[in-house]
Amino acid sequence: MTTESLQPIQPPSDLARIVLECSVDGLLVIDSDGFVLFANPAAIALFAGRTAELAGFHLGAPAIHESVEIILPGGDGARYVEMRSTEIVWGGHTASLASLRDITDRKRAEKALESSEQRYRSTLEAAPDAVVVFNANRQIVLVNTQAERMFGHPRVALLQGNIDLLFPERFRQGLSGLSARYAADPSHEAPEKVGTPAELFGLRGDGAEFPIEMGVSRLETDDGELILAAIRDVTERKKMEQRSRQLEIMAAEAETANKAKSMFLSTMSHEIRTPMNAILGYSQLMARDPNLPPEAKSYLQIINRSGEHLLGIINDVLDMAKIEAGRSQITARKFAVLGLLRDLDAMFRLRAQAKGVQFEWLLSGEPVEYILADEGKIRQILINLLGNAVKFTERGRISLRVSLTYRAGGQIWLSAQVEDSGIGIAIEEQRELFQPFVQGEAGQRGRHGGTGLGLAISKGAAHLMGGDVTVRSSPGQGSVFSLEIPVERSTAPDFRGDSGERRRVLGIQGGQDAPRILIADDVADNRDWLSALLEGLGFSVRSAENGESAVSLWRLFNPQLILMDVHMPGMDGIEACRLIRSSAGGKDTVIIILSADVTSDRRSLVFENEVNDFIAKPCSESELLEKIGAHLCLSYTYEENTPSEKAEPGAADPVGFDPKLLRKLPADLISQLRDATLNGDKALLDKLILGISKSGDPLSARGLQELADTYQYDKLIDLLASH
Amino acid sequence: MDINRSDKPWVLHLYVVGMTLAAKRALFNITAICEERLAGAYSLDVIDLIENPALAEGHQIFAVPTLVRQLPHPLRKVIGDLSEPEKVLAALDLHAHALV
Repeated sequence: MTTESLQPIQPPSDLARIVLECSVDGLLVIDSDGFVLFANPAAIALFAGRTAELAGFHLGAPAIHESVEIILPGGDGARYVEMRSTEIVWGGHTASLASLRDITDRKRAEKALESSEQRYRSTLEAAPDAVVVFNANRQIVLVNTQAERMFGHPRVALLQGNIDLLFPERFRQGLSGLSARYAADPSHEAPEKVGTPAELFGLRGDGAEFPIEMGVSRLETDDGELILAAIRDVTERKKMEQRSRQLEIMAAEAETANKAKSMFLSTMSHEIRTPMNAILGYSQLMARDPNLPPEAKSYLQIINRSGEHLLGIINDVLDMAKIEAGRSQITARKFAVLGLLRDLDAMFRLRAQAKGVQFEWLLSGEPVEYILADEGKIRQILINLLGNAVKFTERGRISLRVSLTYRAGGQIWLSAQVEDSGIGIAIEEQRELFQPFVQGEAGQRGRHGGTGLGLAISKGAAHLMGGDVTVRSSPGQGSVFSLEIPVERSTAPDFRGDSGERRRVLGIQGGQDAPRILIADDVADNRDWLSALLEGLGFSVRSAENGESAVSLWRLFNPQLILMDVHMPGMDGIEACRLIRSSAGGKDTVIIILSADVTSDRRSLVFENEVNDFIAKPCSESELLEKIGAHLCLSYTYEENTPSEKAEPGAADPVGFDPKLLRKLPADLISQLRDATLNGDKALLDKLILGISKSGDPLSARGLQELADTYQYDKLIDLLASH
Repeated sequence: MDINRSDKPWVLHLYVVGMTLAAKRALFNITAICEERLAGAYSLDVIDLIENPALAEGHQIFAVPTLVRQLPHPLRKVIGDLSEPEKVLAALDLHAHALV
């Protein structure tokens, strides 16, 4: 190696030393073996902590073309240095003069920038949306993993393509408009949504389109303006929205259908019942015609039975519909439990006995005479349960046990159990038992008929009253149906003697011997009905099916009173009466003639003054009992006076409702009521009426409610229109 | 790691702190030189002080990249990115070494 070409440098003079010492850059002289010959203070400072004496330490010979970044390690205190070197002659030897510039701060700043970029990237990766950044030429410059996944292109393919890759043909025009808009108007600051969710779609690598939502924002960078698009796949949300829209439509349709059904049913109720009443009424009336040939009579009976059966079915269906539509209402009133049980006894004792089945009932528990509850519904439920018991029991017995007991909270509960020794019900059938429109085994349906709605109605009604109907049964072991409902203890209802309402007779007042009554009628149904009724009330009853047996029974039984039918085969009623009257003691017996044909029978009664009274058939229970009571000087116990029919929804006119009261209501309320009525919107109507009641006009509310409940919309409209 | 054990006459260690640009250049340059001059007769190890910081102290490494000629003796050091082949050859005393 020659040294001539090199600039000989002498060890520094004093002035040179000062310059070297003041230099910000570190300066080292290193010999060709890599040993440090000289170091200025800046250089020493750079190596501080590693070596105290730089001179003589083995750093290494610099082999650097122009400059290089070297690192001075030292744990946390590592320094980044930009190093340059030149060859010099130092003390006659070739050496390197190395300058060291501390660039640690700059490096740290770069690193910080790098890590913030890293963070920015990881933010992009963490974002739930696909992120695509593209430049003014629509070239994609940055994507995240979600974008790869969503569009089904690998990152490399995305970064080599432009944004047209991501959208179906038809959207590309609009998107180029987007970047153009950004180019033309750089004042865009807030992110902008492109298109509405309904109209923007993305394009996957496999050619499939999917609905997206896209937000874009402008990025100002050193590489020019970029546009960042955050893209969300809204396929799932679209599906959900569609589903919820469908559900809304379905709900609205169901609501409309329900309204229509309610209207239809209320119309049907009226439309079917009216002609049914005519059919039943006239067939009954015709059946009483004595001149009717026997086959015609039996046809009429068939018509009548079928009609009653049909009416029962219709009532069931309507009841069920009412319960399902939530239109069934509770009408609580005071009544005697014992009275109800006696009625049931009168209804079922005979039916059970006719099948050779024993019927018994028992009232136990708290000595509560009167309760406040919906008697109609309780009666309906018990009739249903007892009816089923009779239907499905061929031998053994049926018992009805009713008890009133106090339970938690001082609430008094009515519990009624109908137990039978019938065919029983399998567990899996018990579940379906209370379902409307599902019947038990197919065979039973054929055998017993009916809608099979009875139990569903009973359960629905019990729920409405805050109770339940349940069953315990196993096949061949009979069944126990239980009704449990909370009731209120009540006092005897107020007696309204002058109301003109007839009160139901519960029985003959105590202290009297059972009065003896003889019934003479050739129709078994009439005899049975009468004797069941009278026996239920405490009379002692015998029956005869013609005149002869009536006369002989009169002798044996010595009745105080005879209920005598006129037309009977063999000896008729008139002849029988004459015979009795002409016999010894025959004048003391009270004879009441029962006849279906008022005019002709009266005419034929030449002995009119020989009988005590005359009742036209079909006779009402109250008229019959009234006359019997009057002739025998009996006192009855009565069920406390309740307007049994009037309280039922469906009764003709609102009671005590003064239309003038409506004038007090605000005009807009009236018009709301009118609209609700015209739209047949019963729910809204109920709400409005409830509001009226709460605002202190319960009388108007009740009147309107009754009209609404009975769907007398015409009447409502008339009322509302006049105000 | 026993850095002195090798069956090659030339044992070189390149000390770095992470694979910085200078480190990559140094490795590239020294590999080229060795392949040209010492093919088959050298071993070259890269020692990253990030993994073994203690080695910096033990081996008297004050700056990286530093190339150390471990063998043959005596120990020689070169610093920088080794981008001046002449200087590297001189520092490692490779001029005397005949071209393969």
